[in-house]
Amino acid sequence: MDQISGYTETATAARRALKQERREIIQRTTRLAKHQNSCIRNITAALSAGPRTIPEIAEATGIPASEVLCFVMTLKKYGSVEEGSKVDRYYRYALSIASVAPEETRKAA
Amino acid sequence: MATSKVLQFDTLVLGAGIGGLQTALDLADQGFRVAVVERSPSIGGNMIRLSKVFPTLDCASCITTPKMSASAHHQNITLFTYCELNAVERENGHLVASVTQKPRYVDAATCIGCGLCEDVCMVMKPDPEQGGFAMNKAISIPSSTALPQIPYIDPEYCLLDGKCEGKCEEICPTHAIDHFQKPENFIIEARSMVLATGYKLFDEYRDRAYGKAGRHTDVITSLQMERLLAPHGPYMRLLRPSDGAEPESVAFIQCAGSRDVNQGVPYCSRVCCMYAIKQAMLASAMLPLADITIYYMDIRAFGKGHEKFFQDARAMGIEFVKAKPVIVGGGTEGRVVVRHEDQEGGGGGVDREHDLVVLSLAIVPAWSPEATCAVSTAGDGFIKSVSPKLAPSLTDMDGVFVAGVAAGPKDIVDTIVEGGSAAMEITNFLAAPSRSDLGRLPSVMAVAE
Repeated sequence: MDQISGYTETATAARRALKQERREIIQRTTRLAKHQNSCIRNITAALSAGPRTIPEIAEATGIPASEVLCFVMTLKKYGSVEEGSKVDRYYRYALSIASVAPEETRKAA
Repeated sequence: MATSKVLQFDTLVLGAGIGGLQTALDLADQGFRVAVVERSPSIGGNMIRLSKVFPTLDCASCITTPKMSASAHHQNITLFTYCELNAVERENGHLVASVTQKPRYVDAATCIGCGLCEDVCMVMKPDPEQGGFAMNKAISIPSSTALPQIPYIDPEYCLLDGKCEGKCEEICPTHAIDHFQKPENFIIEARSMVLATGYKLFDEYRDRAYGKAGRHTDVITSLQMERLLAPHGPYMRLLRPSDGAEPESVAFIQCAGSRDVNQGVPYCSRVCCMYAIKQAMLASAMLPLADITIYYMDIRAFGKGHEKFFQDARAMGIEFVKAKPVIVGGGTEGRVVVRHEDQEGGGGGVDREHDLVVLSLAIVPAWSPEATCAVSTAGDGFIKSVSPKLAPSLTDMDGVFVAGVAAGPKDIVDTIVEGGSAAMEITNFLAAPSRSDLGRLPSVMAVAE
C-alpha cells in the first residue's frame, strides 16, 4: 500500500513491479530488520536500568558480546547511546539524554 | 551502445586515490581537461581511511581532503564516482572507454547531503568504511569526509517502502530519493589515460596461514587497525572487538603474506614495517600502560626520517621480536595465543597471549586490467612499467600511463611523485603529434634491464 499521496496509477504499478523484482531481497531484509530491532529493544531495556558495560549487556540480553559492541557503537553514532564512566577495562554505556527524554531536550533547545 | 553519451577529455584518470588526484590536479592546472573515474561512492581512496601517516604523524584526512576538495572544485576536472570501467580500447589514435555509473538511488543533482534519510532508515548494515566494526544504514553517506557528500542506497538492504513505509522518501526535503534509477552507460573518449587504481590487502592469507584462528574476532587487519586508531573510528577508542575491553597487550605480525612464496606473495610490501611502527606508537599513546610487541622478519626503514622513527619506537618501549609467528587460537580471558620460535634466545617455541593481534597483510593490486584493457601486468600482478628505472610511468600501451601502488607497493610520498611524473609524461605525450616524434624514447627503450 502506498502511503505517499500524489502517485499516479502508472507509478504505483511500477513500484509494485520493482518490489516484485526485489521480492527475495525484501523478504530477507525484513527478517534482518526485525532481528536488529529486537536486539536494539533488548539492549535498550538492559540500559534503562542504568549504565552498563558490554559484557553486562551481553549477559542481560543473551546477545554475544561482539554483536552487543557493534550495536552499541552504532546506537552511539546515531545518538541514542553515549559512553559513560570506566570500570576496570570496560567502559559503561548509557541511554543518552536525548533518547530518554526527547521532550525535555526539544524544549531546552 | 551506439546511443550512449560520449564525453571527450584530454586524460582519463582511473582511480581517485591520492595518486589519481595528484595526477589529475597536475594536468588540470596546466589546462588539460581530466575525467577521474572512481569505483567507490567517494573519492580519496585508501588514504582517507588512515589515522595518521608515517613518519611525520600528520593526520591523513587533514592532508588528503584539501586535494579532494581541489579536485572536486577544479574547472578542468570532472569526477565520476560509483563507476565501473567496462572496457577501454585504442581507436583512431584515441582511447575509448566504456563506463557504467552504478545507481545510488539518490538524485545527485537535487540531494543536499542533509543526512535526514540516514537518520530515519530502519535497516542497519555493516559499515565498510569502519572495518565492519560498527554499522550504518541501508541509505548512508559513506563517511564524514566522503566527497561527494551524498548518500547511496545499498539495494541488498533496502526495504523499498515496505516495513519502513518509505521514511527516507517522506523526510527528504528535496525529494531526491529515486528507487527507479538505472545504471547509466556512457563513453569517455580520451587522448591519454593514467592507471592509479591502488591496492587492497591480501585477506586470503589469514585462512591459508592461520586457518580458523586467522578469523578470530580480535585478529584484525592493518586497515581495520587504522580505523580503531582514527579520530572518527567505529569506537572512538582503541578497544578489542570481541567485547569492548581496553587491550592490555597488542601484537603486530609483520610480513603476513609478503615474502612468502608458498602461501602469500613473493615480494616485500614495502610500507608495512613503517606503518606497523606508526600504529604501535599511536596505540602506545592511546593506551600508555599496554604492552606492544612487533613480531618482525626484518625492519625496513629506508626512507627519509624512517630510521629515527624506528629508534623512537624502541625508545618508547615497544618490543621488537624477530620471529614469524603463528596464531594458535583463543586463550585465557578472551586473549589470542600467538606462538613464535625464540630465534634470539635459546630456540624452541614460545606461546604468548595478546588482547589484539594486528596482521600487516601483503599489498596486492586492487584492480586487474584483464578483460578490460590490453595493458600488460608484470609477474607480480601489478601494472608493468616498461622502463622502470628511467621512465616508471610508461606502460606497454600507447597513451596509457601508471602512477602509484598500481605499479607496485610504495608509500604516499612516492605515490605523489609518480602522480606528478605521469602528468609530465602525458604533457609531453599530448604535445607530440605522434609518439615516434618523442626523440628520446627509442634510446630509452634500448637501455633494457
